[in-house]
Order: sequence, then structure tokens, then C-alpha cells
Amino acid sequence: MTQAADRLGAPRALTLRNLKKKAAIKRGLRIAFSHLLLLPLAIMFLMPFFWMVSTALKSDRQVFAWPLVWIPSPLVWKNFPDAIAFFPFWLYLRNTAFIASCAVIGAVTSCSLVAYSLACVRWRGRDVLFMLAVATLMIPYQVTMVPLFITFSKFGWVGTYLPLIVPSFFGGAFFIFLLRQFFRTIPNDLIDAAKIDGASHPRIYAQIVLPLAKPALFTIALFQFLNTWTDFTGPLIYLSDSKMYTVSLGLQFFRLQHETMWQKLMAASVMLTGPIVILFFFTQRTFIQGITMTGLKG
Amino acid sequence: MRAISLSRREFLHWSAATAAVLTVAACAPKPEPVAATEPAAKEAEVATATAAPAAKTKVLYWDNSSPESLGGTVKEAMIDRFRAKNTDIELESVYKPTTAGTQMSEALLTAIAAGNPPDAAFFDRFIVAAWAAEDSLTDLTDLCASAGIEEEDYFPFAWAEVTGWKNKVWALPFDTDDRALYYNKKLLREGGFDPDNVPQDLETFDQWAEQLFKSEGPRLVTAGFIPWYGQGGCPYVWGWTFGAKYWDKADPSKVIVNSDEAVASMEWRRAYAEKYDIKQYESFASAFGQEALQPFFVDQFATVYGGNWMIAQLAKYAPELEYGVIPMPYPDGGRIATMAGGWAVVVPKGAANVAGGFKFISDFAGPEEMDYFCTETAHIPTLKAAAAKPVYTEDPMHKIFMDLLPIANTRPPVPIGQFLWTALVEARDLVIHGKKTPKEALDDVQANSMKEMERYL
Amino acid sequence: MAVSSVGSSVLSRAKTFGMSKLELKELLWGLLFASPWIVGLLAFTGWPILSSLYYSFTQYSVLSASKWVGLDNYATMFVHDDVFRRALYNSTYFAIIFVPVGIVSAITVAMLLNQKIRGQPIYRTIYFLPVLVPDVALSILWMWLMNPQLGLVNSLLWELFKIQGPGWIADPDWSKSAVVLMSLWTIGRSVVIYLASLQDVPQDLYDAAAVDGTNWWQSIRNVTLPMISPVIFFTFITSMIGSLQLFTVPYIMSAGDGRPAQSLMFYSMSLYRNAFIYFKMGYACSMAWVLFVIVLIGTLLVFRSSSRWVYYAGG
Repeated sequence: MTQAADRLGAPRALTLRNLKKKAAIKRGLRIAFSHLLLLPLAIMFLMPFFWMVSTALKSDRQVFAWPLVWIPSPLVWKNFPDAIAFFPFWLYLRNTAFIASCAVIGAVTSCSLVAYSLACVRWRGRDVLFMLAVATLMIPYQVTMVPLFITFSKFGWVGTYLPLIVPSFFGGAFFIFLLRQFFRTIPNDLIDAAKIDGASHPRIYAQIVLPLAKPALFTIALFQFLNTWTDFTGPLIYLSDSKMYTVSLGLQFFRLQHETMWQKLMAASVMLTGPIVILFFFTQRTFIQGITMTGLKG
Repeated sequence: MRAISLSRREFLHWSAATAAVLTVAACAPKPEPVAATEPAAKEAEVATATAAPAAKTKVLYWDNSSPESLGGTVKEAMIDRFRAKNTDIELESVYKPTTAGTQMSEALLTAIAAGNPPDAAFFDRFIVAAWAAEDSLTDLTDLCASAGIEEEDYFPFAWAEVTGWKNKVWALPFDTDDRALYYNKKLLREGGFDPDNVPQDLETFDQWAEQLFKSEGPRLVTAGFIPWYGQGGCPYVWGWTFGAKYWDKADPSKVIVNSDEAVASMEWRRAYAEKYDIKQYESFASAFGQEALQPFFVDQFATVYGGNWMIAQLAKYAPELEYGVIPMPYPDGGRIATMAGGWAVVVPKGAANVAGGFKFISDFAGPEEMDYFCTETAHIPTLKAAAAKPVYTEDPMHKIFMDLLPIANTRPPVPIGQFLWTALVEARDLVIHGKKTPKEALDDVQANSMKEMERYL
Repeated sequence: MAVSSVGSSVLSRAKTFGMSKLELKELLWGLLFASPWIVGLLAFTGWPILSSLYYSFTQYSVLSASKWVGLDNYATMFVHDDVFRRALYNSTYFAIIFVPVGIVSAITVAMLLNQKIRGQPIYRTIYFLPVLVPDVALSILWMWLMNPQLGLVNSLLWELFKIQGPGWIADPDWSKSAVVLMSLWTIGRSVVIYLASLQDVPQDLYDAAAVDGTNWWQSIRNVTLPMISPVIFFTFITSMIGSLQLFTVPYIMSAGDGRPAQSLMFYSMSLYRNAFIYFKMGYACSMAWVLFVIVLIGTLLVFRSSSRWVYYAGG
């Protein structure tokens, strides 16, 4: 307490009230400063999505008008129902939701299992396996795309959803790497204590590690969902029945030979990302608690 | 110390999420039966079909037109007619989009590589020779002979493009397009020129263009002419304009990109870049609108080298614009240059049903259906007989494009066609930014393309 | 039951494998938990990667059979191909700038978004939004904002600071910087990862630091950064890999050919072209493996240094 008092400047009265006032001012300044930084950047970050929505409401002539039109007039709401009617929107949406959900389940379970092995089980060769996994990230997809296609073709999986779903149940190096880093931040004492209590690895995995890594698992789920949702090449080469197509293929309907139907494309994109935005907004509260950073505790 | 059990709220969240996922999963369509079970299904089908009068053979066709676009719906009608005429064939048509920003069909490439391609596919005529050289298309020469499809039926450029590789037929030409110079009559008048007397020689035209550039201070407001904008981006056009010959059917494996004429055309482009400050151009260019707000439509360009399809776009987006069309001016020793592009239909190598595939494409790209497609979509047919129909020359603007067809040029139908294109475009880009001289740039392309060609000789 | 009897019989022979019973037990558990990935490697991912290595020594078009050419591809790449050199330069230039800038920006934003101030859920969503916007839309919008003559960026620079803005993507010397700025829009992914890792920093540490009288910068340096260093390690390596493999953004912004003046010809664009447009998949594979070696060296360097700056609370 005396250290704190020295920092405040000795002559001031060390009443609790004064200390609390000081802390409040400091907190107020910090909050103001944060908003000062966050707000202008937020406007910048909001721009792309705002432009997307704004373009979705534009008429033909305003899409590429210069200077940029931010608030179109008239507001062409019709672009939205037109966009949805332009391709089998709901069918493709259901298909994509199905594939994405399966992939998310696959990714979260398999990657967490593998990451657990690399982070919490002390076995010989785990670092080699880890390096190997990271190394697979270094090969660009363009050169593995065709052999992989041929592999799936030999399995007889071309024309089904299997090539889009099954691999996620066998781990992905990116997520394994991420989770392994997160799992390694879990203090050893916790795990050792559980081991002393006689817990086996499966129990430690399920009851200690997973719950502690919730924010990381949420992140994996989000990313896998987004990857599958926006994947174009996969559905393009593996799906041959247009009733099974996904939204990324559906959006191609708006590309004509010499033009692109921008407003409808943006309208459809808004319809497809809107729910994700809302989902993100509501689920983040559960996983990102935030902290209060205090410079001084009263 | 953190709680390591789920709070009730979290538990409810997880349950809700899981329930949602399971509901979605339950509502999702079940995946199609794995290919392994397909033969069984097919057999069953054939078995029941033999009880009926005719057994159906399957033909799979891949198209890349957006199904809801005009082209897509017209093709659907053509396909339905085919089905009605050929009840013994079960034709399946699947939409396989190209990769955004390209004409590239990754799907077709991987399918051919894996040995299970469709029986027919819509294909960019420009790359027929390249894919044929890689042994990925079925040789249609004999099938064409027995079907009575002959070289004379088509415009020279179209036939050249599909037979460029080893002088065999690899595709059936479908539609085409060509290009000419559009000019804005109002801007020409304002510049003090007579819009009914646009010069056909390049030198005078360059002078006109110079007068038509207008700036406000450092900002470019109107461009007289930008050679490499839009369809002028085709690097061959200016070589042709100056009289260059890139490829000769007599010696199909030779390509000459650094002829004197080609170098002269590059020099001409460099002159434009230098005169009008390339950076201004580029920033003008990157502000370009598309579709409704293409610079020519909004009086930002006085002239532009554009394709025949712009006529329909102008009618739709800028009906009040007064414009004219003339073949591109050319210098002494040069010639009128128009590039003819367009599409074709192919039977990929390894197709299960070659005969069926050919039957379909010879109908699809045959005189009746080609005529139907082109009249409905305002494209140009590659069959001379179809193109002779008066409907294409009703519009005096369009007549100019039609008259150019007999002398239209096509990009060299060589296996390294795409390499050449990108190399020439990059060469131009380097030249207009002052990084290389015209001769240097084209000599480099020539050397590199000879090297690339080696593996096909 | 059968498993445990097999297990115990294996364990009893632990000595023969040269390790203790405990070590063997951990080895088996480790392999078991890692089995999904191992199986996936053997079934799916392993062969394509190995075959790409094989093809790098061949002339291969995908559509026809491959022809062995030994080290020809590699030789051509380094001796003859100036596009390769340009592409490598461009991607490396971009990576060297973007990786540190991106990490610092993402950490800063994450820390800002991690405080308990009002409106955070909204802020966090907003900062994440650009990730959800299709790449093509982002690129087009950015191309306009950065238009040298008419765009917002140069207009603001002039109005506010009286600076004549550069030519951005119209200027070969500034185009890569334009791509860097554009890529900063999508740091939302990294921000989410950092936000997740910031949750794992125990509050007690901050409290203890506060009691010790440290200010905010010191507590960041001594508490926050070390505690999230494992994740910084992750984003450093994945950002390095991602930057060197960047494809979509420069492809769209340069109309596929790297304009202006090849300044935006990124490595993976050249690779894609060789693979699918020029039918030189063998050459593309050798490009891929050259990149692999470069990235591997970079990663190993980071790994080596990691013992000095990465702190793992756990094992």
C-alpha cells in the first residue's frame, strides 16, 4: 500500500475515497482511450460489409458509379428475393449447412484428439510427428489437388459428399497445430494432479483439457465452418449432381459470360453471411469473457 | 482457479448448438449412392429397359453457362429438343462453372486425369490445340467425315482453331465474336471532328485520339484512345494491325512473335504510354466501372476497341449514346485486325460414350441449333450458312462485325497458346512501364516460347 | 477386456523395446490419440504430397503420362526463368512486411477487444466482418478506395495531411504495399485466435503484477505476451506460410497476370499458371518444393529461437 501511495505523490491524503477516485479516473481514461482507438478502426472494418449490403440494394446504374455510392437511392429491395430465386438457394444452403456441420464435428473431435497427443502425452516421437504435421502445411494445394482427386476417384467417392467431409475426421494440420499450442498452456500441475488421482488419458482429455480449451475449440469450429462454407474448388470437382451443389457453386450462377450480376451476387452473399454474423455475435459471449485490466487495485 | 465443469448456461448453449446441428443434418439430403453401387443401379435400369422397346444409353454433358442466364436457358431448350428427338439417349446436363476470373475448367481437367470425364463438354476454342496436344480430347476426324461435317462449312478462323494440332479435328466450333472500333459521336463532334468520317489510317487516327484526351489539371477526364484497354488487351491484335503474321498453317510448330511488324506495334503502344503518362492511365483504368458503367458508356472514352456483344449492352445500359463502329484503323503495310474468339464443344478423351457424345455435339453445334442459339443470344455463328442469314446484318452496326468475319484472325492454335498469350501480355505491360524496350521484350518472349514448344516437337 | 490383456502383455515386454513400462504406456496412448491424423496421412494426404515430390522431377501435364527429367525443372527455374525469380521476390517481400505488421496489429486489436468495456460484442463482430466478405468483393472495393486519383485513401491523405498519395496498385513500386494494407483488413481471424488465447491468461498474474506496481505496458510485456507466446508462435509460422502462398487477393487485383509490370506476380500465381494453364504440373511441383524448403528453413529458425521466447505453462 505504501508503494502505491508513493506513486500517487506523498502529500495527498491516503483516504480510501481518494484512491477509489483515482482508480475511477484512470479507468475512465483507459475506457475513453480504448474507444478512441476502437471506433475509427471499427468504421474502417465495417466498410466492406457495409459496401456489400449497399451494393445489394443498388440499381444497375449505381453499382459502379463514381464517386462511390454508399447509400443507394432508390433502395432496390427487390434484389434480395430476385437473388434467392436465381438459383436453388434453400437447397444449396441446406446442403452446405449439412457438409459444414459434419466437417465441424469431425474437425473438433479429431484435431483435439491429435493435439492432446502432441501436447499432453509425453511420448517419444511426438515432436517428430508435430514437425511432420506442420510440414504438410507448407505444400500448396495446387500440386496435391489432382493426386488427391485421383485417390478419391479410386475409392469411388467422386460424386458424393464424402471427399468434403471424411478428411475432416482425420485431423487437419492447421487446427492440430493451433490446439497443440493451446493445450500446452494448460499448467502441468492440473494434469499431474489428475494422474495422481488415477485418471487415465481419456478422462484427462475429456474432463480437464477440453473444458479448459473451450475458446480454442470455438475458434476451430468457427474456422472449419467458414472454410467449408466458402470452399469452391472442393464442391466443384467432387460434386456432379447439381442437386447436391453448395452455395459457393450457387453464387457462380451470377457470373455471366461478359458481365457479373453484382447486386444479386452481393444480395445472396449478404443472405449467406448474415446468419453467420448473428451466430458469431451471440456465441462469442460464451467463449470470450474478456478481462478487466487494472493498473491499481483498490 | 478455474471451474472445470460446465455451468448450466454453457450446457444449455452446447445442447442447443448440438440440437441445431442434428436438425440440420437430419434435414439434409442424403448423399447420392456411392459410385460403387451405381453399376448395380445401371444394370437394373438396363434390365428393365430391355423389356421396353429401346435400351437407353447415357450421355453426360458439362456446360459452363449460368443456368439462369440467357445463354443457359437457351441451351436448356436446345438440350430438351435433343432429348425429344433422341428417346434412346438419356442426356444429363450438368452446370460446372469455370474458376472465377478465368475460362479454366479445373473440374474437366481433374475428371480427365482421373479417367472419368463427361461424354461432351462446352469448351473454349482458344485452348483446343493445347488440350489436344496433351492427348485429352477425342479425335473427331473420322466421326466428322461420316457425319458430313466439312471444313468449307465453317469460317476459316474457326476451322483453323479446332484443327491446329496435327491437322485433325478436335472440337466442333460453336459460336464466335469479333471486335472493332467503337466511337462516341458526340465527343468526336465536340473535339471538332466529323463522326461520319473516322479515318481508316492509323496515323490520322492517332492524331484524332490526341485531340480527344482531356484533363482537368492532373486528372484525366476523357481518354481519346487507350490501346490496351478491354478487348485491346489481346496482344495479337496490334501485331495484326501492323501486318504481323504469327503462325502459318504450313509450318504449325513455328510461332514468330518478334517480327518487325510486331515490334513496330509494340513501339506504337509504348508511344501511347509515354505520351499520356501511363500512371494516369492505370489509375483511370482501375477506377473503371463494368457493365452499366463501362467508361465508353459514360463518355469517359471517346473511342474503344470492343466486341460485337457491346451492341446489346449499349442498347440496355446507354440507349441515348450516339455511337458508330468501324473496323480498326491500320497503318501502311498493315491490315484490318479483328480477333475472333468463341466456344466449341468437345468429347473428352476417355469418355464412356464417345458415339453418344458425338451425336449430341453434332446436333448441339449443328446448323439448326447453332442458328437458334445465336439468334436468341445475339452471338455470331461459325457456320457460314447460318451466318449468311439476314438477321445478323439487319443492324448496320452489327453488319460491320459480320463483314469482318471472312478476314478475322484467330490466336495461333498451338499447344503453347496460353503461355504465348500471358507472355505477350506481360511483355506489353513491361514495355509500357518502361522496364524493357519493345524489341527486348518480344525477343525474350520468342526465345522462351521456342523453349516451351520443344516438348511438343 | 481383450484390449487390456493385449495391452498388459505388450507392456510387460517393455524392456525389450528399450524403454520403461511408463514410457511404453505413454507411447501407446500417444499413438492412439494421434491415430486419426496418422491414418489420414496414410490414406489421404501422404500420397499426394509424395507424388508431388516425384512429379517435380518429371515433365508432367496431368493429362498425359509423366516423363522423367531429373533435375531439369529445378535447373530451369533458377537459371532461365525470370518470372520465377520475380515471383519469389514478390512473395518474399510481401511476407517480410506483412507477417510482423499483421501480428502486431492483430495482437493490439485483440488486446483492445479483450477489455471489459461496453460494446465489445459489437466491436468484436465488426472487426471480424471483413473475413466474411467474399475476397472478390474486398478486392474490388479496395481497388477503388486506393485509386490514386479518385480513391478515398489518397483524398484523405490530401485533405488531412496535404500529402500527394502514391499510385498504389497503379504503381509497380507501391502495389505490394497496397496488398499489405488490404490484407490487414482480414486480420480478424488472427484476432479471434488471440482473443481465445488471452482468455487463458490467469487473472491472478495480472493482479500480482498490479500489486507489484507495474504499469500497463510492463504487464503486457511481462504477463500477457509470454502467456500468449505459444499462440504467437503459431500465428508467426502459419502467417509466414500463408503469406508466401497468398493467391486470391493478388490474382484478382492484378487480373491474373501480376500487373503492373509483374509487381503483383506472386509465387502461387505463377505456380497455378504452370500447373493448370501451361500444363507444366511437373514444373509447378518443383516450384512447390522449392517453396517448401524455403518455408521449412524459416520455420526451423523460428523453432530454434522459440526456446528463448516461447513460454509453455504446461508440458
